[in-house]
Amino acid sequence: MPEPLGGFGRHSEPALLVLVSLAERPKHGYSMMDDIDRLTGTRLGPGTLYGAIARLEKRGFIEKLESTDRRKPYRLTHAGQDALSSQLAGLEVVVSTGLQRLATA
Amino acid sequence: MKWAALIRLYPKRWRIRYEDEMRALLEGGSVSVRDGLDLLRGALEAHLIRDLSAGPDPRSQTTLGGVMEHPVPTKRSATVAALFLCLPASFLLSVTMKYGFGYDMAFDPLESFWTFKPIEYFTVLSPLAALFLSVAPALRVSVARDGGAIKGALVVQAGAVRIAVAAVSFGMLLVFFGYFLTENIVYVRVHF
Repeated sequence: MPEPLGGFGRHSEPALLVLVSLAERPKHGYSMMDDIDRLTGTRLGPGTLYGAIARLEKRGFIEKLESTDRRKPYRLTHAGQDALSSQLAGLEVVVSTGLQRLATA
Repeated sequence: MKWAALIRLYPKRWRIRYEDEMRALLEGGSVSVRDGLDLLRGALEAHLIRDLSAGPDPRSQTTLGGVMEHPVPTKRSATVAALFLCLPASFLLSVTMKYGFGYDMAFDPLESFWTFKPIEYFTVLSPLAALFLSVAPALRVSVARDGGAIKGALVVQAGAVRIAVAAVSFGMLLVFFGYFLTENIVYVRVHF
């Protein structure tokens, strides 16, 4: 089965991080950036962050919420939740296999 | 330097959708040179991948497998391609009027053509550019790995305007090529 973020190519990592960040609750760009920084120790640049947001929004994985604030919050859609679950399940197989092989090496 | 000014480099459609929140993001914290370079790269990417600026596409159907129907390209590139055809079209029209129907022109189009000014090269090359502009945005090439096999697909999504412009461009290229053959090979063999 193809990976849900497979079509994102080299952009799949920032997209995955945005999905993971939004899995907690709806967030605007600055909160996502902070959350991803705390989670991974990597600070996404503004161009990379909004590139990922645009790709995910285009695919219907996230949606913008109405807000009077200039900072617009985004939330995961059902398709985004499914895509994230599927992507993480795929990664889990890789992680567990890797750890298993390291343990027996 | 005000890094937020770099947002002006993004395409208009992108700015309509994201400019306010990007500015708010940049005003909310310190912006490094690395962020500035990241913005430049993002702006370039937004120009190169036009679909990115468009926001969610209601015609796109997202599935769990990540398959997305590509939207039909807009008519903008086809319109630009059509504009490229104006000059060669006027050239062919003036040649037909003078040599086909004997309507004397204020100038001899073929004589003026062979003076090798830049505009003449543009006349010949513009149908080629028009053909590229009309066809390229309508092509989608996808390569995916399915198990051990690599599968490729070429999809053409073109409207009537795009097909018409491509056909006219191709026709003009054939006319110019035919003229080149007649003038340089057939004529030379017959007369020399």
